[in-house]
Amino acid sequence: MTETVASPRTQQDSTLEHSKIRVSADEVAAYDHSGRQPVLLGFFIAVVWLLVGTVLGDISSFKFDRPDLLSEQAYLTFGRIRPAHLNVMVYGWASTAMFSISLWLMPRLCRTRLRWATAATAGILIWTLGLAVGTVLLIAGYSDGLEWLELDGQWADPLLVAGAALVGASIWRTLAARRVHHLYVSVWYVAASYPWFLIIFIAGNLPIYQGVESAAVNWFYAHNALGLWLTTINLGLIYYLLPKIIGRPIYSYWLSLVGFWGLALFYALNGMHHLIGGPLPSWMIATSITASIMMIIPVVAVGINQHMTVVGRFGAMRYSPALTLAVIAAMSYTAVSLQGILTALVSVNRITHFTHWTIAHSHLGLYMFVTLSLFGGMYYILPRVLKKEWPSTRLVRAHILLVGGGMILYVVALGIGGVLQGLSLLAPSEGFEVSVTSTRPWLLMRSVAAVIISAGHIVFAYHAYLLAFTHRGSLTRQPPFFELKPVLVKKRAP
Amino acid sequence: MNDETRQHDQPIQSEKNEVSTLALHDEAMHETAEPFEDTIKGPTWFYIFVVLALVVGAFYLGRHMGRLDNAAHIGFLHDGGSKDQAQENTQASTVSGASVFGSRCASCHQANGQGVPGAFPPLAGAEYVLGDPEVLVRIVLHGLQGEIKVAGQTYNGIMPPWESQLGDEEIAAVINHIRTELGENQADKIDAALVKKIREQTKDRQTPWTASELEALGT
Repeated sequence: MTETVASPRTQQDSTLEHSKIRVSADEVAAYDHSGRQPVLLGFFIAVVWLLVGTVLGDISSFKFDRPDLLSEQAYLTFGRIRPAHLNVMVYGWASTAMFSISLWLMPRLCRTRLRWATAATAGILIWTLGLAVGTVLLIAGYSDGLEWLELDGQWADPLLVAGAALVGASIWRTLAARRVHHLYVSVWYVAASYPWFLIIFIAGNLPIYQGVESAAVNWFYAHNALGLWLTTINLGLIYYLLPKIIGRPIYSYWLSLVGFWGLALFYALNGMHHLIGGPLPSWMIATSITASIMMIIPVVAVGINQHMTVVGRFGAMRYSPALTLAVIAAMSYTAVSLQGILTALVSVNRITHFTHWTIAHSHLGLYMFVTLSLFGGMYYILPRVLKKEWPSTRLVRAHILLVGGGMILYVVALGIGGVLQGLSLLAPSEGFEVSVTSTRPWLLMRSVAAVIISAGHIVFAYHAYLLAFTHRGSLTRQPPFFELKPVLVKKRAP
Repeated sequence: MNDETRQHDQPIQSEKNEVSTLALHDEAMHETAEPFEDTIKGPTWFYIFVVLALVVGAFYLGRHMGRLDNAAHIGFLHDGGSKDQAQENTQASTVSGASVFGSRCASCHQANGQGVPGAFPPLAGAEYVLGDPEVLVRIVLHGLQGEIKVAGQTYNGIMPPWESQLGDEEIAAVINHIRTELGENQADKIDAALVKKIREQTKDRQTPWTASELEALGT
């Protein structure tokens, strides 16, 4: 049924009208197979880190409600558990899953098998080893002491650099061997992310900065790790999943261009808005706030582009968990970016700086956007690589409801608590203690949300185990939501 | 599923590149077409919006950028907010004690001067603040270290020296502010000449004061 045009075999063939390129299912299966080893390995490791990070996050959250909880041993104190949670989630769960997603996307989008797959596998293993070493050292008390850069500079960071470089080499070798003329928007994002990440990670970890410089470089890195690494690969994934599942082209190539280059230009300057009020030169702060305001251009461009791609077809979300999660993630990207722009304004920042608002904001970004997009990607990719379907509709539903609902509670509760805390900190008539006690009910709600989300993670990990390691999936021939009767379609093909 | 699915093995009628949702399911068993991009330009209002955003951004940057040097940012406190003006304001003879307090002291001693129990001593109602101004000027100039008893509570921390950051006028202004504005505090005001005198007297001092040294001074 997809044989309208033979699949392109040469560079020349691929200059066909792009919409006419049809790829046969066998060919796509061959692309998927070429990256099977690193993709599955990456997803497996990512889910393990997800569970580890969940436990660390839960402990950190509970410590706010009961400060004396688990404080007898130094390695269980907040100062070590909380950075461990951050690093495990960012470098263990998100980054490792993103390796797999990029290694799966590139062969499909470049219409060629994955090159240097062994290097990619080795890269993922080295990265994981580096992170494991770094996390153990962190828990044992050896930290570089800068947020997002805590992992040990001597033992962990070189392994992380080597791992990401190996995966990046495989990505770029595949890109070089492409058999398409036109590069689809996802390729821009995925391929650019690797050099960007290596540049910022090495720059952030160089041991040459002191004082204010160090703080500036710290936030240059931390903000760009989000903007030029976590955001880009996930936007690439969403740009692939939306049109792919809905069966419609991306709304506008021009908006894609504005979105990509706008992000590349403005995001890199944003970091200093974390240091508003700090002793940095005015021009650094002002440039950063200006660049943050300018982020509205790429964010609105991407928002329009993705919305117009899906609009009128939101009903299709009922039949595809991957689409559901991708759409929620895309909306969250718009939401978190607009919230970020708002928070960068001096008048708002005065209230929200040093409050729980920031934690709510970062979870809106790293969870509602990045993590849900990764879950969506795994729902779509794993059945295709494993050639088995997810066995249970109920588990998929339970997972999405738990993590989605839990995170909405989390963000709303901490957002409100953060603003109240900020206002209390600014009120001259109230002592410092008032601002602390006023946040307690909101922090309790955060812990409740954390438990709900953790339950969702356990459901997901169990379901992934059923899919990958048991034969239950092979009995299911249809995607989990297939049996539902579509109601959107009025006219059927004769 | 057999008969139903068979029917769809023929190419599906599509409208404007939209495959029906039903076909989507059938194809999901295999693979849908690879995604591609339309070349629609996008709404005109978006491009107008881009220009507007650039104008607003340029205006904001021009207004707040200040000079391209490495002097620390003081904050967008004043109208016209450029750094030059802010600096002039702090150097002028009418220095605002409240503004110095807000930027230098309030992060530890809190905006209301109540401190943080167990960590930072209060200024409101504190003997050191309301007592001999010569002692207070010394504390602000060189900082304070070690155990100290304030308002019946013992604290053990460190306060940084402000000798090199704040001028005589600024120190006098902030001392007058904490002696008269915080809580119920009502004590005599001092002038910059006193700060200048004590700065001269203690110019060789390198370390923060301790409570016992200050006791010795008072007697």
